[in-house]
Amino acid sequence: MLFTDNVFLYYFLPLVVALYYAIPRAGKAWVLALSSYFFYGWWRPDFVLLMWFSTLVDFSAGRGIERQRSQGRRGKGWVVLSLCVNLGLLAYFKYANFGIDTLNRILESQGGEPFEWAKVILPVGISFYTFQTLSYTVDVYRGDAKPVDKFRDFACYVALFPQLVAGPIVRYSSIADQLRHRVHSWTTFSTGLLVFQAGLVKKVLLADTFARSADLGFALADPTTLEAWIAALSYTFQIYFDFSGYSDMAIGLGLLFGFRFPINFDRPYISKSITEFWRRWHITLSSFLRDYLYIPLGGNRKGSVRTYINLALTMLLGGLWHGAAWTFIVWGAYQGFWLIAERLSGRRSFYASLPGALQNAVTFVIVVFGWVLFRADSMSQALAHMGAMLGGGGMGTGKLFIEWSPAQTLAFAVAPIVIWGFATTQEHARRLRTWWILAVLVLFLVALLQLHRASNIPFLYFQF
Amino acid sequence: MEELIKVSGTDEAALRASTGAKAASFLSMTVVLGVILWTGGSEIFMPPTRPILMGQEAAADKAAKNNRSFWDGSLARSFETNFRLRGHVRRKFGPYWSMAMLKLGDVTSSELILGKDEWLFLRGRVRLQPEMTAEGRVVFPNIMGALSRTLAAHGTTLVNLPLLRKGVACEERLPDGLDPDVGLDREIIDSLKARGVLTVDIFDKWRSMEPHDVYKIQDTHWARPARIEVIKELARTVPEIPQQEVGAWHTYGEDKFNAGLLNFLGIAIQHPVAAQARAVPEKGIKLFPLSFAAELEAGTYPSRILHVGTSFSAGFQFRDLLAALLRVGVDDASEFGQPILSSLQAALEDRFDHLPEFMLAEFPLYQAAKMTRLTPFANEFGGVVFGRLNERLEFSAVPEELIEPPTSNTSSDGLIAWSYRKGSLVSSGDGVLLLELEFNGPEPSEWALSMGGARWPISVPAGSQRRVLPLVDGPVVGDFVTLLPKGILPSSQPVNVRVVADVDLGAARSMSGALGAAATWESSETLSVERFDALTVRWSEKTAAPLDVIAIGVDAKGAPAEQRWTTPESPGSRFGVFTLGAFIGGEVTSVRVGGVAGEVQVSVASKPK
Repeated sequence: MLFTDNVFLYYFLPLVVALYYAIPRAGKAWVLALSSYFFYGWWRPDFVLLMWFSTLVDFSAGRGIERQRSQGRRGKGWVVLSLCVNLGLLAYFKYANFGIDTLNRILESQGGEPFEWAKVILPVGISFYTFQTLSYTVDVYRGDAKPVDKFRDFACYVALFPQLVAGPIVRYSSIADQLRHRVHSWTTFSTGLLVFQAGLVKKVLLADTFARSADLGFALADPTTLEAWIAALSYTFQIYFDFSGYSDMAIGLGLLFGFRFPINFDRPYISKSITEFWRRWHITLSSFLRDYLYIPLGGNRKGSVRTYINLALTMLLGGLWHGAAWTFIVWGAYQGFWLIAERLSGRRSFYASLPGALQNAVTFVIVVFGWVLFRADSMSQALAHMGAMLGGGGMGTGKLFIEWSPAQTLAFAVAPIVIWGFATTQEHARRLRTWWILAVLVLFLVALLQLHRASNIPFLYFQF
Repeated sequence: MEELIKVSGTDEAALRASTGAKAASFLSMTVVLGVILWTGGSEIFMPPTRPILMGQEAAADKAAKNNRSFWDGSLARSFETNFRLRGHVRRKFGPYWSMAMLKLGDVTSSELILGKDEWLFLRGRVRLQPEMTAEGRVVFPNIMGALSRTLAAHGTTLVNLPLLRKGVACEERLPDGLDPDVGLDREIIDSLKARGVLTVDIFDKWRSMEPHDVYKIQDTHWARPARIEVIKELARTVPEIPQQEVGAWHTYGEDKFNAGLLNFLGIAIQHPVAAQARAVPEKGIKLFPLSFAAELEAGTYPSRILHVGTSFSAGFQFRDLLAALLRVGVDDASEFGQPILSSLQAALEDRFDHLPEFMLAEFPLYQAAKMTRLTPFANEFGGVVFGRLNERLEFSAVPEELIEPPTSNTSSDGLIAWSYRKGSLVSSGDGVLLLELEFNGPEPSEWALSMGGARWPISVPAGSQRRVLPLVDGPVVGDFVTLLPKGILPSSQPVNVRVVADVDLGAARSMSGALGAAATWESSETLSVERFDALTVRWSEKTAAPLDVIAIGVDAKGAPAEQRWTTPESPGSRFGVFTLGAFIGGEVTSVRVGGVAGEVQVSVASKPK
């Protein structure tokens, strides 16, 4: 189910909210868990079994670690089991097609017979919930979190529909207390509704408008330089408004049920270095990778060379997490390259001597080129597109502007103001202002009307 | 630890919302919850009426319902789609948003292209898939060529009325720079003519008219001036068509609005905001005398013309306009929402025993362009119509020694197939060459005759049965032909296969010529050409080169004409037959044949009288 689906907005959400508040406190976690299973199984009921499996394994792992601790052991076997199960699920469902395809290409190039292979369907959200269940077991193992007492709380944590399919990645330790005890108030509820509205507005009115020029621009065989830039910028804005919009909606929905989720975006495009960008973009993923991959690899504790290797590995795997394709791997390497380069110059960009606005501009351009890698269907397309951006596409307006609409122009005018000039949704939630509330209300109603059009565009991060 | 969201007015935020913000927040919550509850509730307690679907829409809806599954999510998705499309909000409030966007220069549906001055075009008809039209531009003219030849043998003249796509006819109203592939429409019309199909060519006329006189601004259908031009051009192209037989006339009735493309924006024509649409009203026609109109409507008038059309005809009283302007009785078998071949099939099935003298086939060219060898309704049409119409016709046998015999394979599961490899059956691929099949099985059987441009289904009762089906090529000249049983048949199932032509090979007019340089046979003899005449080529020695036939001459108006057929590889057989549609009423003045050796015989053969 999508947050933008009518079924979600007009039936699922009000019914779950009503049920949640009507039922006694002890049953609330079950309401959330069961409704989340319904939410997740709406499109593919069989995939709920996978989630149950992952839930059972990690719940048992938490209990098992606790039991072994009481016997004076560390419970390492349970962590290994959790790693094998969760990463195994991820490897099979997310990377099996990629692996077999790559192997077949190699075999074919050597004149061999390719493997016959039925394509595996990627269960939505598996990248997110496997990370969450894994984080629970690791946190318990490290002693950063206590094992959950009640299965219902853990089931609720894993399945929690507001953040189930596309994050933010909520670590168990972040909401362990909230699972046991949450404060419900009108203030939290109404603010949650506002944050949800703001996210929907970002998604429907901005991200989907940019999607038009991004999709068309990246589909052009030979884009001109202007077209290549407009397409890349469109995608840069689309992915921000799409993903941060989704995160806002998730955070807002969480507030409706008394949960306070972690912030996932903090104006990433105002960054003055790539290091800063990764502190502001998809914060829950970058901090997850830092705490569960970079630091366990040794972080910066084993000398500068190992630090760079760890950084590169973390970003490569971060790229691969986004999808099973060479473009994502190269995108991860590209990000890793800039992070290493900045670490070499003392965690500052090598253009740190420039005025602040120029530092921001250079960082933004680096990010835009990165998104070309991220968006392209293949490396050859990405390189061709970058070549066009660098002047190889020739002059002229080309085909991208044939059906350009005033709404697209308006989006291009509004997006920079929202990105560079406005406070974030979480900042507004922290300090509500009348004009913001009313503006969000009006735009939300417009977005609802827009949602009734013939074709809707799914969230970008559902594919990851 | 990650930073969690903080909420104004709570301890974590330590920032208090102002009284105004609190009031605004309360207002917002009330409105949003009200909208959500009202919207959801109204769909349940005041469910919207179900739309009545017709034709293709109804068939597609039924197919979609049958294919829904709980496990793959298609059931859930169909529920979502149904809810969104039928919902009160979409119907009542959505139209205001859509119309506002339209007026601001945007459309809320990716299926539409917004042209200049609020002109709307269906994207799928402006920008056709090139890989699809590669087949369509050949397959459809070949099928119509075959039908035209078959009907002619029954004394029926088939006249095609191909209608240009809106994007082609009204190209100046498309956004600047958008290429609707004008050449595609021109090519299909020319292809029809080249196959000897009587075709009303309104290409230049429509493109010279004011766009709003050709197509409705926000609809997919034509305007009255365009219809009148088609009828005028019909009378010019087919002067022998019956005219002036009835003292018919017409007056104009009530205004009708056509703006079907607004539906794609979720705007029903009955919605108040539709008044803002650029739908130019058009008055309906009232045909007189009333007794004549009533007889036409009842189908009791003895019409010599049968008109078969699509929604362009069925929805716009085209038959009445034909009857009024030609002053003649016209029987009508036009249908809403059906592809032209399906409507033609239905019309012919009702009339196999009393075929009309003239049969008009109106169709929009996008239908032709989208046709492939696997289009189900086209194949159904071919199997039924040709199977029945050719039942009692006699054809001219192609000497067996000139044709490379088919191979017969029996697979391990008992499946039998007769296959002519590429280059065995070389023709213009428009039904001038046919396969005569004689079945004599003890039980009923089902077969498919598969080839480059079609896959005709054949249903055979037990006993001795004869079927003659035209060979229809796709883009490849002389493509494969395979006869396949459906299911497993006893290996004793006997089938005799014979290659026949629908021109009189015995009475062909020979052309004198000689082999010249580069193994090319050349003739400079002039021969007149009539409709359905075909060039036959036979040679005595095979070569390794592809067959390349070029005919040069003039058409009925004396304008230079040329037709060329080239096989991709060396043909296995030593015979080819090609329709000379481009020279009808004119003459062939020169023929060059490459890729042949030995004794070469070229002649022009006609259909038996």
